[in-house]
Amino acid sequence: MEKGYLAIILHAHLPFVRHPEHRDSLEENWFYEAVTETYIPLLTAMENLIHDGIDFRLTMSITPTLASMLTDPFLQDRYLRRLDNLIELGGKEVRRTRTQPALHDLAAWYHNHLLKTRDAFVNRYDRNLILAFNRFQEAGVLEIMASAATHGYLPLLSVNSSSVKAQTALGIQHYRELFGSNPKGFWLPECGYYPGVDQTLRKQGISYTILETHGITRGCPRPRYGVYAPVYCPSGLAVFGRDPESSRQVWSAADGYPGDHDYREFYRDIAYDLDLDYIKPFIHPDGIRIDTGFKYYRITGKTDHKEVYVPEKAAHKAAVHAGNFMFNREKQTEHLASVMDRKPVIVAPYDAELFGHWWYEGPLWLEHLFRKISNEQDTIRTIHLSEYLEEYPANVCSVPSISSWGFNGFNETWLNGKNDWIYPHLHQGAAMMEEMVEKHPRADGITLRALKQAARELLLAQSSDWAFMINTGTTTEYGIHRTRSHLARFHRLNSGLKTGNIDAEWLSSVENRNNIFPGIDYSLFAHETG
Amino acid sequence: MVSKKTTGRHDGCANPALLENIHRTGTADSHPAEAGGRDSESDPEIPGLSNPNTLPESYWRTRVILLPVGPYVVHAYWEYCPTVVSGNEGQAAPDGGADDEKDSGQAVLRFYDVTDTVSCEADPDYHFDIEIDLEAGNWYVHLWEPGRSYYAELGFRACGGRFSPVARSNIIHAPGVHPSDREADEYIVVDRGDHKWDEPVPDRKPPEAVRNSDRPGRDFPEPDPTASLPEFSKDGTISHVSETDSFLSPESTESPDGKPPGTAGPDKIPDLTEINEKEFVSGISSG
Repeated sequence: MEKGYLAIILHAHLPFVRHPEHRDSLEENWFYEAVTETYIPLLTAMENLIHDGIDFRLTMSITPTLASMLTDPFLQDRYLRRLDNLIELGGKEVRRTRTQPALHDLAAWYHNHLLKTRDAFVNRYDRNLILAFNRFQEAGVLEIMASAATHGYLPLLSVNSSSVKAQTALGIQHYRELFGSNPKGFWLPECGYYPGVDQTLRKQGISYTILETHGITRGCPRPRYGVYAPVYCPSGLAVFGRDPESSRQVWSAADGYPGDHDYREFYRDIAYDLDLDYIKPFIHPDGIRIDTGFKYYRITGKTDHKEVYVPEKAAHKAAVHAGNFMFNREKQTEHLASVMDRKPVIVAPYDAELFGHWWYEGPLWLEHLFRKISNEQDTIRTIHLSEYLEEYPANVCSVPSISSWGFNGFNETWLNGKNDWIYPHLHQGAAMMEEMVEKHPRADGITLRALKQAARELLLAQSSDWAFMINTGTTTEYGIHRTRSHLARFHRLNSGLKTGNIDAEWLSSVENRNNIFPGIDYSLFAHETG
Repeated sequence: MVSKKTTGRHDGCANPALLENIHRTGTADSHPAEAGGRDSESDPEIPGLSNPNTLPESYWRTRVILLPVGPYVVHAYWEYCPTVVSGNEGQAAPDGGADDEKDSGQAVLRFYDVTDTVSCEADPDYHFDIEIDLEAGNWYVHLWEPGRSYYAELGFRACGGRFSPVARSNIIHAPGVHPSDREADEYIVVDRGDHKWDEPVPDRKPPEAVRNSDRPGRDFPEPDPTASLPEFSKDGTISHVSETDSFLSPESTESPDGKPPGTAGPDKIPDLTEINEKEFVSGISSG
């Protein structure tokens, strides 16, 4: 009989990046890489576990922006085009490395991996990974959480309650359309919580969400069991807190498993090592080198000299680290169970893209972890958070603290001297959208189309990703561009609605480009009183 | 997940980046998606604006908004239109109104602490003023006490001290930095099925079964079933992981009074909240 539970949560999210206006888009590669390195490997891991009769529970949030991209035929086609391009590169690499046995084996290994990925994408999953994920939800091993429509950072959007309402309601509506069921959990983008958002979620039928550790520990009144049992907000929403120890073991740059010297080095890709003439057909047509996924070296250490990657060693280390993680959770659970009047739950949320994309061996580690927990011990069991609430429906009542999982734990990542210029525009945009809804309560024809597109553009401008990019300095210009271009289109639509002069041809092109949420109800932005 | 780098300038002064960004145009010209001579966006120009991605420099609404940054810093931004006061957009200010005040007074943000009030109406005698440069448009304000609630008024303070507000902000709550002294003792049960969905779940194409006949298999080598993997406590080869890397100190793992699990009284429970606080590292996921 288990003494406690472990809830592994993977937050799968990418911003809506879709550029039909460009033949090749650098930023669309984020999506292609994540499909190959994260989403298909996670599906494969779950298939392997089910095939072997392993009892496991995994929770994922799949954001509406990512889900929209995964179900978009245009991006599915482009992904396949990129995959075929890389398969061709694999063939060339096998030939190029024939006199270098270690690299040759790796090239063949990658080539084979890409062929299998293609087979899985086309034949096994019929190009639609959402249907594949949902199959595991229907099988009871995967619980999928809903999330905000475009990953808006709700604490800073809450100046306009209509924005929070639209982000959450549309996210939930999209989930129901896509997965055919009502979501139990809702992932708050960036774990961004403020008192009041719980009421919004609860009113829409959500049972639980997850906060960063201090959202729970600094709640008022003080929770009895730290983050090892949920609390109920006064609204009735159950809130679980992230366990800091299990987070550190995976996330920490200094101590985390992904930094092991036997694991694959992310930053050493042949795109940057080989002659431009050779690699040019497989990078951006303008000669901009982009990752190909052919990475032949392991982390090795804090040195520029890198040893060749050995998959067997990496696989072994993934198993060892899975055992280590399980051991720590067992010890943790034994202690907690001895001092609590209930079975504790350890909540371990991670970005899904950490697994496979950044930490190449991550999906394998996860598969090992579930196997070991199922086969090698009795202290812990994996669980869905909704199952925990069914077993323990009585919990203490507390008002969680404002919190996020960003730098310093609050709003600073998305609000600082680099990106604060965004918010006057977002807030004013929401106020203008409220006015549009009030003026056009029952629109039709081109007016309806313009209102729907205005809502899409405003929602896309609200994505937390742009402020994050501007802050980190890695893709600053793109973040700025996306914010400004969505807002500019929004203003143009607003202007057209006011004057009655809507450019139908331009509107069609914008609808085609930013086609997320085709059935959007623009009245979700109606001004809320009280 | 991306690079660890931050960030904010909480220097209690105007933020030049805001004006720079608001007034700068054409930053999109160099964004990576358009690098290398590819077609730029095909949006025609927005009427009255010189660049497709230019945003309005003014919304012609007198307003002030507060946004909490963290426990000790709040961000304020404002817009002041001399002929418009909050709530009367498009109307001229009354004679002798804010426009005159601007000419004769110091622009300030007057903060009111409404933490302990019931109706969020502050005691007018309990406030503090932050003198601002009206043209800056935004300001980072340092707070000396976390966990408080505030709103602010944008206005002008005359030489004689008379304050003329022109806009009132939203109310914000600056987060606290410590667990509460009061422990939760009220248990409640929430009916999970109490929500009535307004509409049935929409029809959806049933997912086609993933073909199970051909197991995908893994790319990595299958583990050797005869090789016993080293246990955590025995394996000295695990880099940057050691046996002492357990989450609690040894003394805190002792069971209270030797009682079996589930029978510990509330007064015997170690302070798990405090332990969580010590273990917690902020920003580990998003740096």
